[in-house]
Amino acid sequence: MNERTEKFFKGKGSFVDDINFPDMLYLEIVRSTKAHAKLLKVKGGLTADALDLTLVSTGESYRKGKNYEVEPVLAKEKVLYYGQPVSAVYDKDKYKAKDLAETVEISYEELKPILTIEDSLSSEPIHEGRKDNIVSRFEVGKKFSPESKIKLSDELFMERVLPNPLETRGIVAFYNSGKLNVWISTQSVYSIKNGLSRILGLNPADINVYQTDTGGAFGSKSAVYPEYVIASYLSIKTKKPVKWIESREEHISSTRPGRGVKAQLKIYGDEKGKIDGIEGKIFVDVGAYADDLSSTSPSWIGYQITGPYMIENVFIEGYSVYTNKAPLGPYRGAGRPEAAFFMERMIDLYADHLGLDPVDVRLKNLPEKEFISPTGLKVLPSKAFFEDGIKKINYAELKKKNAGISFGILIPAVDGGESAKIKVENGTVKVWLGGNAHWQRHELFVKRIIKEVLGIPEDKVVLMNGNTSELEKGIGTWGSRSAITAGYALYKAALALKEKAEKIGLKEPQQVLSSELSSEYYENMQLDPSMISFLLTAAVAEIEDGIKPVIKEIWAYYDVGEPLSLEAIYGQITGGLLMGVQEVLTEALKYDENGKPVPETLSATGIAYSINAPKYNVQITSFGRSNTPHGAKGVGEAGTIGAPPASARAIENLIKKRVNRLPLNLDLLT
Amino acid sequence: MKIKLNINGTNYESDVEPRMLLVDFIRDVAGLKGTHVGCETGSCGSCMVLLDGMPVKSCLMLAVQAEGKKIITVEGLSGKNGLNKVQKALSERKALQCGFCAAGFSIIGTWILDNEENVDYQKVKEDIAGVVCRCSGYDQIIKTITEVAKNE
Ligand code: FES
Ligand code: FES
Repeated sequence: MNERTEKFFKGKGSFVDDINFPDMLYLEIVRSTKAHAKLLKVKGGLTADALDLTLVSTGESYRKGKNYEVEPVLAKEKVLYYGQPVSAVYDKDKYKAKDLAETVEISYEELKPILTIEDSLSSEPIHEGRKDNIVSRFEVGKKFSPESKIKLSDELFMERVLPNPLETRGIVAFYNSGKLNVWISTQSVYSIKNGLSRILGLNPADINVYQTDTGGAFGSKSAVYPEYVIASYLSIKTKKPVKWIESREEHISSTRPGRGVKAQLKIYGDEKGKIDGIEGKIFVDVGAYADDLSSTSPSWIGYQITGPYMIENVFIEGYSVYTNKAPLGPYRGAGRPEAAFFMERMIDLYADHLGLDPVDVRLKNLPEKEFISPTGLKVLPSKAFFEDGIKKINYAELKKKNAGISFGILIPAVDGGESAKIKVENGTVKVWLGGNAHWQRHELFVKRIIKEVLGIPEDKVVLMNGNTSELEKGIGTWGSRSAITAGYALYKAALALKEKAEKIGLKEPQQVLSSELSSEYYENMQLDPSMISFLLTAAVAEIEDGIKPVIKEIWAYYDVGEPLSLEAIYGQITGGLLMGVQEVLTEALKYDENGKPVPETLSATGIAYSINAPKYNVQITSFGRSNTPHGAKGVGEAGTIGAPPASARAIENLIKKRVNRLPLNLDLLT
Repeated sequence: MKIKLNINGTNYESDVEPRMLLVDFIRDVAGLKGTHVGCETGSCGSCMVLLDGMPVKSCLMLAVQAEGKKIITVEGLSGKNGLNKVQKALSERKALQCGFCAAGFSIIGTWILDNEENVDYQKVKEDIAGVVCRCSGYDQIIKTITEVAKNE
């Protein structure tokens, strides 16, 4: 029996809101109720007058060094999005803290909010001292002058989507004997530790970050947020433990959402289905403030626009732009679903124009040997994989049901590598990974690797939560990276432990288990095309109740390299597929004309309930191992990449109208 | 105000604010942390408990409204430390990922087992429609509960 799983069913998990200390203070954040306004007065609570920091550092010079605007911890002079932290109050009673929040007085002078990419490009800058609302501009690929017979263009759009993990964000900060201890629901104890040390100017050695059980994240728990700085600051000041738990309403207004991307693309090709080139512009709405990830997002999307295909000419101009909305963050897939949706929808457009089967056009444009796209993306030939998959999902039958199809790739975010530590203690093998598990069932591959290398039975292996005092260095869990990077580091750490054991004459697993050995391994890694997995997805749509399109069936034929745990992979794939389907149908974060988020509750954000789930047909396969000792490829984001273009196409086939905006515009149906 | 609630067979007495939610009483007064808060608005079922045998969302009720009723939380579904059939199956079959929704599905799954007849995949799919799992896509959860119910 698996302890880690079992505890959740006994009610013995320790999520961040389960952590309590005597004398603890509850923190409440008072937020802006305007999307764009001057702050005329802020009275009550902790304000920017006392805590004047940004999410980068205390040093103004560092802030200026970045070419984008960084979010302040508490708004000063102006608020730039609805839900922006303006003041903070606390009390030892949770209900009283909420009452206190009501007493803070804020008065605003409202300004016109900029809410769309179009408005952003044509309006006065929302940040003083900038000449426009453009955060950054990129070019990827190479300019070309096409002589193609066929030239088709379209504009595509993916709305903002909330990560909405079932557990919202939260932190308990406790400054004690000169050390800041932080318990937090996170994807990376390291980004929290580094962030807090940088922003608050603390010595990293004086900060310990402990990952609590983490109830999902989907990108939203990777970065440092204002609330974490405020809680830490208040604990340092009061010397008391300070707890902050996000409400769902706050998650909707203030946690970083993903997507929010527009593309204007042209596809060039001949009359037989050979694509000559793809060209166009990609715009990312990063919201009111930027960071490294959001400001470079357009170039990351452009880099992988050609997916598995061999397209010789590519030129993409990318822009990120400011709007009066919450800052953008990564959402499951983070750029990969965007690239796949854009490319796949353009290929369907091209195939339709020629009257060809979309699958034939796709197969025709796959490379025969390793291909390097003009953007620098290197992909291996994949024709055998997709031809096989087409048979395995019985495309001939699916076609009769008007199925939509997508081909895709998953590029894992392996750069930076990962760390792992193994410690044998009292007959148990404890494992820490630099990337912190929260929904991916890492413990399953951890147990498997330990068993494979050390011969130690799986029930003697425990995966511990992230902890910076046990394992000092590490990166984090995102971008479908962990099986590859943390798996690799763990494999190496296990080999090192084995070697240590053999040196002192311990040969049998039982002997190792009774030892007190430990080992640690960290290595940087670089992306190798063998780590990129291939994805074939199909969807079948139907109209329900005479008006509502739904996805009835979803088929996935996914390459996962050497599968480390089939059950875990299956659940990750179905979870991702459902998110992808829902993003096409209903899931979205929209704003009203004043810049206030439209949804007020979790259900109003359009997430999937059980009754929304399609019938799944998932086939997990291996199209070669990755170039790592354990052979794994990424999987976490597969479903969110494959499902949207396939589902959009399935609905398009049904309603006979082009689907180029997500979520689906229901007016199309009338 | 003073109230007394019976949770998992134990009486908990406390002086609380009249506006205190049942879920806060369960978590903060009784100290039973298995019941979670995911949305505070009845959208997610993370806070689900059995109230006189019926599944209810404890974030939608005041603690005082539960006086005189029998409340069962995820911790009380079986004997000390053990797991009941649904919990055991969900756990063994690795139906969940992050585990935050475990209480909700344990409660609703147990209710299905005790109350529904002729259970099949579709029925379970509809019965659990008030409980959100954001990680799994629901398939393994539905299959597991269906199988346990069929073997009853
Ligand atoms: S917390 Fe009660 S339904 Fe979500
Ligand atoms: S396993 Fe994460 S919400 Fe269900």
